[in-house]
Amino acid sequence: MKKIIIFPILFFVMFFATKTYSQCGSLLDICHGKLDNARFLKSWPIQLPEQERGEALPQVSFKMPLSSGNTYKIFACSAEELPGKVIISIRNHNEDLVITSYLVEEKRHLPLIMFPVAMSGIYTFSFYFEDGKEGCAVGVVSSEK
Amino acid sequence: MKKLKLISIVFLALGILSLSSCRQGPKGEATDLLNDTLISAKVRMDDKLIGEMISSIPNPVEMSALLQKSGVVYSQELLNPVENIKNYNTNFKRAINIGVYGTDLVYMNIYDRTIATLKYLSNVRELAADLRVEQFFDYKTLNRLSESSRNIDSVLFITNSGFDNMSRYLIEQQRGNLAVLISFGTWIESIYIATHLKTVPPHRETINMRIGEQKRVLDNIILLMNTFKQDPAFAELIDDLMILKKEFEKVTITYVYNEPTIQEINGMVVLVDNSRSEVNIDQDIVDQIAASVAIIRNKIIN
Repeated sequence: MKKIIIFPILFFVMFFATKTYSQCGSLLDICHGKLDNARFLKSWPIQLPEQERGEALPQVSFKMPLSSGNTYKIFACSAEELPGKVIISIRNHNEDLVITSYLVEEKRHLPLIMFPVAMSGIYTFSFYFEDGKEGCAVGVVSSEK
Repeated sequence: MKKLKLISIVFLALGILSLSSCRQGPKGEATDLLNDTLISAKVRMDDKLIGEMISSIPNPVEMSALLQKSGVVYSQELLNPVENIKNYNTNFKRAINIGVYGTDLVYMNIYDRTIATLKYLSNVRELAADLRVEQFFDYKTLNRLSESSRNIDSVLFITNSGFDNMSRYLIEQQRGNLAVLISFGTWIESIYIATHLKTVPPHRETINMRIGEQKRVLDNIILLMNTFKQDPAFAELIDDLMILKKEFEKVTITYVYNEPTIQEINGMVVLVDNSRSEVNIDQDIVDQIAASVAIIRNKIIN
């Protein structure tokens, strides 16, 4: 009897886990419409758990070279199924914060960032979710033609 | 009860079948000098770090776009000939040349040579199949899109995201050494094209500056390669890269830091980066870099 109960539970757990993962994985297909006329360069899938009490804010970082003379269009899309809204912050190779997609004072998310680069170098792109909520997203870097 | 047993046996058999199909070897298994899983298991550099450092290798789209924007004439003869694929009978060479052909594909697409890309696409497919990573490219769609120059952005999107996903997959599978080689292949081909094109001033200066900026990238590539230096093929490549590094040491890069200013226009944040970088490189240094790059690249593609 126990086996009969466990089997459907296991099936539903696996089904929904796969469903959430696939939605997270297919975000780029939805998000790439934001490119408009820009050239796609790089994307990163981001999936983070909810921040635990007393623990550091979960975040992921990636490095990418940006070249002077280019204008980069940077944006991210969050999955609607999860509560977290993604925030991007970019630091130069000196670790100075150069830009973020969240205006703290206004508590407002910016849909995209335009970044005309004057200093070539390797920049760090960090992604985390507002208020440390659980979330999944995709971050995209493209360049204006 | 018997039914339950039968179901379990069917699932078990299906499981074994799917696992064995995943492990199918490439069609031309041949003389594999690079036992990727074995090396990764021995030298486990942090996978996250490998992924992060691979990301710091420039996308070939940027160099090709710069060349095209600078009015540089397209040169098919600079690309790796399609027929060279017959030389690639080790995973080491296959991985690097996926990257090389990948950059050639990008270059051709940026210059609207979409029809010519089909053979290169086929080569990428064949090499990817040999490395069991062909699932990351939708070749049917790519072939269809390549028939028209109006689809270049879509082709570049599919190609680039395919390379990203392939790299992530390889790292997850503890085959980070192959991911490193693929990214290195894209980089060396980009630099080879940029250093061997016929250009005229003032475009030459812009391109030379971009070449000089590769000094930092090369440092990261050498760091990545060192993770796998126990493999003789990697060790030989590192030796060649150290010679190239010596040439790049003649390049000076200076940074001037200033506070950025932010403007918001129609809901879009525009960051005015007041910091700037200056690259000091003259034509002699570029020529020496070009010669070193050519030696490495010729070893790789032949």
